[in-house]
Amino acid sequence: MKILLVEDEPTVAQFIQKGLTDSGHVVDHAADGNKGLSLAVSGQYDVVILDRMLPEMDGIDVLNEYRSQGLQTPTLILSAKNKVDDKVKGLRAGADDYLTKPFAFEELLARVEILGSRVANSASAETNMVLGDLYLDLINRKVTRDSKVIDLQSKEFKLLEYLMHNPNKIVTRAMLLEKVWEYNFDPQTNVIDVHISRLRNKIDKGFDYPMIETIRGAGYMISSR
Amino acid sequence: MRAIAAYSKSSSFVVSFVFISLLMLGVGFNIYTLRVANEDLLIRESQAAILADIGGFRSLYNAAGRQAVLQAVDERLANHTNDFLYYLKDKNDNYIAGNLSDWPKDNINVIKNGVLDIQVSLLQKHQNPAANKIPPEQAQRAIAMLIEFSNKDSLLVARSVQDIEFAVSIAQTSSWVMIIILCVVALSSLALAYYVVSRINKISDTADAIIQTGDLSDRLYVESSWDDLSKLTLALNQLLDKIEQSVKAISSVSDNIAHDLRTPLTRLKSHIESIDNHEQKQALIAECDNLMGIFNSLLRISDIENSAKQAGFESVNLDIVLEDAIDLYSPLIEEKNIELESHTEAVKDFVGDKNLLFQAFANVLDNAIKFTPAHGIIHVSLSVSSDGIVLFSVDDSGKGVDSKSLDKLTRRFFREEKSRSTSGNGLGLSLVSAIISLHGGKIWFEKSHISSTKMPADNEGLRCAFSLAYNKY
Repeated sequence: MKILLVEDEPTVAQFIQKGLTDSGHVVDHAADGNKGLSLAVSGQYDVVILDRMLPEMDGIDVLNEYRSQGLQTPTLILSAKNKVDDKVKGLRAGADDYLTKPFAFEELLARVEILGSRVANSASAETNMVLGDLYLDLINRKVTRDSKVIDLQSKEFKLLEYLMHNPNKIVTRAMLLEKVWEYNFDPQTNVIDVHISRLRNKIDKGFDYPMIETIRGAGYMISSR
Repeated sequence: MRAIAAYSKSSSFVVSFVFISLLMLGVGFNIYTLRVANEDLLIRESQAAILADIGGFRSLYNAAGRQAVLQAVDERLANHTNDFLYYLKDKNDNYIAGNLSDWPKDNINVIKNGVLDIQVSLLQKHQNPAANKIPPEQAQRAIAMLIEFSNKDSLLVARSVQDIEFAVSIAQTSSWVMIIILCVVALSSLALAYYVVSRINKISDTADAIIQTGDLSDRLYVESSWDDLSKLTLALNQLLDKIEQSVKAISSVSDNIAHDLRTPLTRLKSHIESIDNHEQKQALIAECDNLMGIFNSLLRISDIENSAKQAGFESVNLDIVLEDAIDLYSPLIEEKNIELESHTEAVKDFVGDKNLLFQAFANVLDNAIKFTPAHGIIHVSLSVSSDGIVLFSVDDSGKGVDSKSLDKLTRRFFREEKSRSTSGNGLGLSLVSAIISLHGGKIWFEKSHISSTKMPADNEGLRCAFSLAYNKY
């Protein structure tokens, strides 16, 4: 993927750039808002990572500017402070995701990769999802695997739906909490793992191969063989 | 409130009251002195002098008759320092000698023992220089006594009390002036004290606001620069500048620590990835993640402690947030076969940060589940008291906490000796405490309220409770 990173702090920029490059992405770096905007409007990027506080031009202003020019590049906002109003402002300006510093690099990577693939599957309003032999009926909220009906509780269904939205991509625990439970917080223990293992018991147990994989230190990934 | 509510607790008011009391004492003494040294005293003194004079005349007459008296009157009148007034007449009321124009007839008051209070006028043509001092014909008040000699001559011996009256009136005027000065001093010192107190209150109100909101960019209002209070205000503002700078420096340092340590940690992690031994690799990666988690928690706590109160607050349905948290933890509760009893009252439109409150509930629940043995009990309660306080409590049926450690539970990295073997980094309750104080609440710990009959043997359990003021959105 081609990623634009707009970040003024050199250490953070270097840290992100190196990590993304190591993961096989191409990264362009802009150290201020003006340069970031002129690169972003060229339209050559799959994802933009935008720092909230920038010299010359605020991150939100940069985002507003290129959104108003009709540019829909998925954008992730980075903010130094864990403040809800910052987050609301960012999302209102058209950001697709939001991450507060400090963050684990895996968290950023997972989010960026999901953002990059979002363009492809966001176009159609889905009524069902298929991955391998797993089938999700979103209207009747029914799940079958290998034509066997699986009974899921509502949270388990939501969890599976979110995983299915991002097949073959790492989904972090924080992302699950944010999208499934709709809270932005830091679980102390393995509570998410327990939810995942219950889900696994229902969709993986007794079938040919496990679909949900734990990625150590990062999160989970759903995939068909 | 730090503002001075009762003026009696203000030092400037106390000082002004002390001064006013001292001044009043002074005036009181002054008035007392005037009362003692009043007319009566002065009149009595004059009376004594007149009596002595009269005694002299009487013995002169007894010794040498009218001629000697006449001579004595003239002699005395010739003496400039003499302030006596005389009028000597014969039995037919004819003037014989003296410096008075007339024998007093009107306005005669008898004081006592033959002492008279009369109005007299000086004799105009008399050559006594004293006549020049006082305008003639002008009546003046005098104290007088009368003697009648055996030849029916009468002598009036008088003494003017004009000077005495003058002195008394000056003393009276001066005491009135003093009373007026006292009033002015009292009023102005009260006004000054009021001014000082209101300015001090302004300073402490601002300080209060800074403590409440945590907004260090706030400054005290500087009205002028001439007085000591303005200097104090300026000094406090400089202090705030300094504190703000330091806080900023500290937070940037901790941000830097987070970044600086994260990079080598990430590098360490990628080195670990290349280790062949799978088991060892997983253990090391877990340790790395644990370290990263501790950093994130620490930074998060200090971030919450330093953030301004209202930023990011919204309307929250607290009961829903709690139910969501219980829902999230229900698999863990079921796994350990714990019996969960929860009583939640509706708490709509609470002003707060939804995510942080969820975090607080989650951490407390997490702890309760962690320390409750399998088949144990957990009680959760959320209620609103009649005076508008939201009360939340979680009772577990775990081993409990030593009573000496109860108030240390929210300290960073504090872990009880017996819980060291369980997972956790000792930051969970510090985070809860930071969140609760951000919302202006209080957190405390006590022995579990679960009845001992339901409690597993030897367990005391722990109650974690917090109270929050219910400010509706």
